[in-house]
Amino acid sequence: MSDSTTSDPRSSVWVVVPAYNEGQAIRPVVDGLLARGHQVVVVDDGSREPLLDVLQGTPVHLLRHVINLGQGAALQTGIRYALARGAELIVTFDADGQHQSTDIDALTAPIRAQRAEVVLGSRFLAGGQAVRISRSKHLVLKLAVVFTRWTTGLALTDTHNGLRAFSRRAAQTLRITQNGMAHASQILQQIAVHRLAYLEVPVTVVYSEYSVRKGQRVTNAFNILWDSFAELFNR
Amino acid sequence: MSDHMKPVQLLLILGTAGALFVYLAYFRSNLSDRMIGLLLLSSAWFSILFPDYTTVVAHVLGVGRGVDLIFYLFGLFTVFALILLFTSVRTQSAQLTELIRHLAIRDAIVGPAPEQQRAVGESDEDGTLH
Repeated sequence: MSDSTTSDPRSSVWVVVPAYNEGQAIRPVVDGLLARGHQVVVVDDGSREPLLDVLQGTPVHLLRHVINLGQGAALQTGIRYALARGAELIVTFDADGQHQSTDIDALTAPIRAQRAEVVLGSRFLAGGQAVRISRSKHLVLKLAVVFTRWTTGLALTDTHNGLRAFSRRAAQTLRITQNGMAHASQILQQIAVHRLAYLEVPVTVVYSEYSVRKGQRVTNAFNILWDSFAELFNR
Repeated sequence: MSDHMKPVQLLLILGTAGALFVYLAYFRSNLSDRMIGLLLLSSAWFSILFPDYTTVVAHVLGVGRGVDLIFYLFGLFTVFALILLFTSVRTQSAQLTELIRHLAIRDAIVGPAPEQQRAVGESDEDGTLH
């Protein structure tokens, strides 16, 4: 492994947090990540109320899209920035409080041990948890697993979990052009196409009332499916 | 052509001429675009002035009436135009994304503070505000 991980392993982890209209909810998320010693890149994806005020006094890297582009675009922006700052390990993390900062160490360990280039968080692996997940969402996610295996050949237990870790090399390989939610499928496609060594580790995702209200509707799966389908013609 | 022009023919001729003028004046000015535009306009005028000939062409292609042939071609052309339009919209949106991303990275702030906001660009390495 490279030298950058020798001093403080956690400070070499760059956590990219895309945020759109998260308001106050993002502050505890960011504080939790900072408390664990990570570098935090918040990409404010054109929120109506800029996140600058909420994040005042925190040592985060704050980037702002002047126009709302979508979560995929925000991730790509954050990843490019982190790479430019010399990040060796990049983690993608939701701003709405669904993800647990305590999962990051387990997520990055396989990359440090050079056992994988990409590590994907899974709610459905033994040891993982999806707290207060709705039945319909569970069903759609299971269908997505089947769809992903069919289209990419990746054998995964969870596909649209925003908690992931990438080695520098893997992050450099990624080209997220799906600005919207189909980026999750696109990332998996690129893992398959570039034959990046991947692993899943169990993580906990908590569906709070806020995150459910803020998050994806189950019916949006059809939009994602459509975007992914359109992607076939974009190559 | 009959002895005198029907009102609808005059309307169509003026309409197509106007459309071509606007297209060339405001959107395209390459020589090739002008040539293609003039070619399309002359074939449109021909089929407006001599509608019977379109039926001759229609029969060759296995279509009963000239007006049906024109209708089919119109549908095809519309689909083609939509694809072109969709492609250019997608290209522009990719360019817009790149531009917004560039601005976001250029104007990144490390450690947002009320009075001191500094664009760091790619300069300092340790990620703190000096």
